Amino acid sequence: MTEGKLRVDALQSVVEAAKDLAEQMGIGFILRIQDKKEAMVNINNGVTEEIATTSLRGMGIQVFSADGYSGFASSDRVNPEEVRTLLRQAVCLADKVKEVAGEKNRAVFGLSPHQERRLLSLKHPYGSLSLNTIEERLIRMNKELSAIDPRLSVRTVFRVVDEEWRIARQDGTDTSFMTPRSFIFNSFAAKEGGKTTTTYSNLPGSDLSVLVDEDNSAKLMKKSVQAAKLALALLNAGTVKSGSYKLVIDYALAKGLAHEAFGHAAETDGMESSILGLNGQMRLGMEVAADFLSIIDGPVEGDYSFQPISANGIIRQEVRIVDGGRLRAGLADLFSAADAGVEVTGAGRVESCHHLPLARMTNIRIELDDFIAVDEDFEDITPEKLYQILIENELIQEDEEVLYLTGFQGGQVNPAFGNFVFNCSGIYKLGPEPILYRPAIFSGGILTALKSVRAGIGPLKIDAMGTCGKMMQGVPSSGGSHYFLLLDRNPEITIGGEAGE
Amino acid sequence: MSERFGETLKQRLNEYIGKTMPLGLTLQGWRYDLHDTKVLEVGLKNSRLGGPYTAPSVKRMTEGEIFLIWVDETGARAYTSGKIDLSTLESFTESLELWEKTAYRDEYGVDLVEPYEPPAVPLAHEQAGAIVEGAFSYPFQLLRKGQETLSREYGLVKVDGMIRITVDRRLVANSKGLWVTYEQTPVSIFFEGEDTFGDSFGEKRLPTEEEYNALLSYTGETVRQLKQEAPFTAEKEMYILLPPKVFAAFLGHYVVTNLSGGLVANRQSAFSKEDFLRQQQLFRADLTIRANGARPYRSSSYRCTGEGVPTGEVEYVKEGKLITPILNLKYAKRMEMKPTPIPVGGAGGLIIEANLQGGLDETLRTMGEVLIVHSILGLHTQDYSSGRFSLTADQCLLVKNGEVKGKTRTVIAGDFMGALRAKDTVFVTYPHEENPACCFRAYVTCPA
Repeated sequence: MTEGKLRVDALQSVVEAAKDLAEQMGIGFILRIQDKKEAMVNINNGVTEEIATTSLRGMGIQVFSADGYSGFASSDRVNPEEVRTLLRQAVCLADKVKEVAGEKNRAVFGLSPHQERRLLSLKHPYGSLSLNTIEERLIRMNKELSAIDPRLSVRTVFRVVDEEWRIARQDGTDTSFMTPRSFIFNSFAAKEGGKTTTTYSNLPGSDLSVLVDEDNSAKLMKKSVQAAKLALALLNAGTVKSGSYKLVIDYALAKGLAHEAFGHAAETDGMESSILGLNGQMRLGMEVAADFLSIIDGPVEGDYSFQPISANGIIRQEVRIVDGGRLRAGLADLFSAADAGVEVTGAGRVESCHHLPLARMTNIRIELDDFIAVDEDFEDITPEKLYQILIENELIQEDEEVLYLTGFQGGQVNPAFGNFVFNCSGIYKLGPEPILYRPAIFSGGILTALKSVRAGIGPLKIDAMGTCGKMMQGVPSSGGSHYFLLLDRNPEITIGGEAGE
Repeated sequence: MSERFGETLKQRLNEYIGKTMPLGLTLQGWRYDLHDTKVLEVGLKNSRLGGPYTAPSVKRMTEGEIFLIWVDETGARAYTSGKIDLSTLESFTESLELWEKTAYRDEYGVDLVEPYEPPAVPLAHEQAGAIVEGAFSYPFQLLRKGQETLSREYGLVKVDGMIRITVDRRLVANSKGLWVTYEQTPVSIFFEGEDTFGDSFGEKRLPTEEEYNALLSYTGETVRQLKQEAPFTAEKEMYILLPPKVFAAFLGHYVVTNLSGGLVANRQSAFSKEDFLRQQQLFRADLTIRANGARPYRSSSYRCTGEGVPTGEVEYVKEGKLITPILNLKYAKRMEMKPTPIPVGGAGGLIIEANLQGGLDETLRTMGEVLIVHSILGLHTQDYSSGRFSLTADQCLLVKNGEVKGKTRTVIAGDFMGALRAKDTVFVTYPHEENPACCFRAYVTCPA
């Protein structure tokens, strides 16, 4: 959608001031203007802890001298005079880089201009529901969840963000887009006999639909009841013996696998040291998985991490990083695509206008050519049912030791060494009567982990949300896979527990 | 800027004191915490200065937090907390109306502190301020020198680094007349070699030459040690040693989080209110954990909190006993305890006291087989409330009888809270660090 008004439309004079001065000085630039409004409600055990609103309006300008030296300046004052001041400061810093013979990059001078506008038509946009109504609904949900068991303490956090961007360059590019997002997050702390465990549930979206739509409310309630019961059950769970196992992971953990094990290593700004690179070039064509597996990243409208245009003003593409088991493309931003030997895909993202863009993921998912069809909703498939599905489809044997990891708790990667980890909320040893264990870290190697994926169960589900914290910049991320992925035992994938109980 | 902005904001807010807003709430009081900051940052990536990802930058922001106290027609109180920025004054009436809409009832809502003069802690380094205001050469020279030293003396091929210097003019004010204004200059410097190991300096002043050289030598030497792989297979309990910064990361995740007054009051912490009231002995009797925000130029120092609570010294854990959670005004009221100074910067600002075994080399010689854990992956994914951990330690040094054998990658698992209780846990003096390293037994898995 391109019709409609944005708040950043009113800042034409700022864009023109930057363009005029840059032309006079003979420099290139990327101007990023951000306008963000945000509301947050925090409920604890049925009582409102805080309702807060925030706003951020600012701009950052990255300049490039004719020979490619770069400097950056940002401010929360958005007017023509300020953009001229920032531009001069950034030029001064770029001159310092030249003085010390720093790094040059002229990629910004090779782009084609465009005036793309990407606006979204939201069903229940920011401000369409009063804060009192939002508060009442959240309190009602929180109280209902708190009533599940007296050992539980429940915290509910709701956040809705109305964010607009305008990106302009010296080549005449002047592009605007929206990145709205929202979520409801519940945390469940269970306490008994000196033991405490904590689990989470969440529902991401792009607007107040997470709170208004009945389907969403029902889905969140199902997830939340499961998380609450898991927290209680974990109070008496043992530790799984550390080692390598045949594994089933849910779609949220599969997002973690795609994001940590592969997405970061495919980002071209780190290709000089990434395990997926060789002498700085991406190892295109390398076999990294079975030929039925693909990894795809790209913006999905209505998704929590939606961003249609990069922070450098380039239209973001959907990228098949792995296609048919082979490495085919990188998550490439303007400044490193050429060195990595891949096409620019518009992968640059920033936390705010005060940051410099990095190559980042948006929505990353693992897709298999074929999968086991499942009629039920993901939330309705218990560990017992999952075991039956696996047996019926002859994916596991009755006496086989198989662990099912559920609930993504975040992850981390060192792309240079190819090590990645992610954590779960709980581990079940599958069987007719599954046994629950405490969470333990899933650690593996980038080059071998995907080769263990043997089967997918259920359709695609790609709404697992998170915040990616690369280089201390937090941006929304999401993704997923089929409901469940089955991974063969792999000595390079370790479930890190203890001696076992 | 902050004082002028703050003065205008004060005037506008005071104009509305006692006035009833459209939804029927009457403004009774206010406080705000305002920061006017200018930040200079210069980066080094892949041994190259100032490329597009680490371009030198200057950032200027005015932002803060506001807290309003309202009364309705029945005399019942309501409260608003929100953010303030430059647009707050540009559209003040709209802001105030929005704040009225976001007001909420709070049984434990708090009053404002009385005016006073908090401790005059020196926190602004004149030279640091001058660099941000235009003497830009310093960070470039420092980064270049660091890269050359690490390359020349330690053979490092890939060096990453960053220097950030901030000038922060802070103003904490309230409608009772509190008006605390001061300047601080946080400085942070970071170097990393071969994507393997990095170390940092962080205070509210520039480093001395000795401190800067120590940062480089520790980074260079540790990366050099981690370059050599050591054959190691394990599936057993053994000693792991967390150097002070890794120990601080564990303390931050498990202890500081659980000390949060909000989590304690809401039964979401591993500790309960009763644990503090009874001063439960939950850790070893020689372990004291405290904070002191009044030390000159320290990264964790400040004059008062955003609520106006003065800085000072506080013991959260004394000789192994829980003394107080970290309490802001609201949770102090709710838990009927005194508000406390807060540990700025998480566990990095804590002071750890324990019976020290001795120096690092001496301890390693006497402990047989030890893994020094220089880097961990996944700490943020762990359940803070359980106290348990299961992590990949991707950069470990295997040490046998004091001799460094080389690098290994392991999975470590255990109970961190339990380790702080265990008699066989050892605290060790560590070179160039204020706090000790912590050495305790954990389950280590390292497949063949």
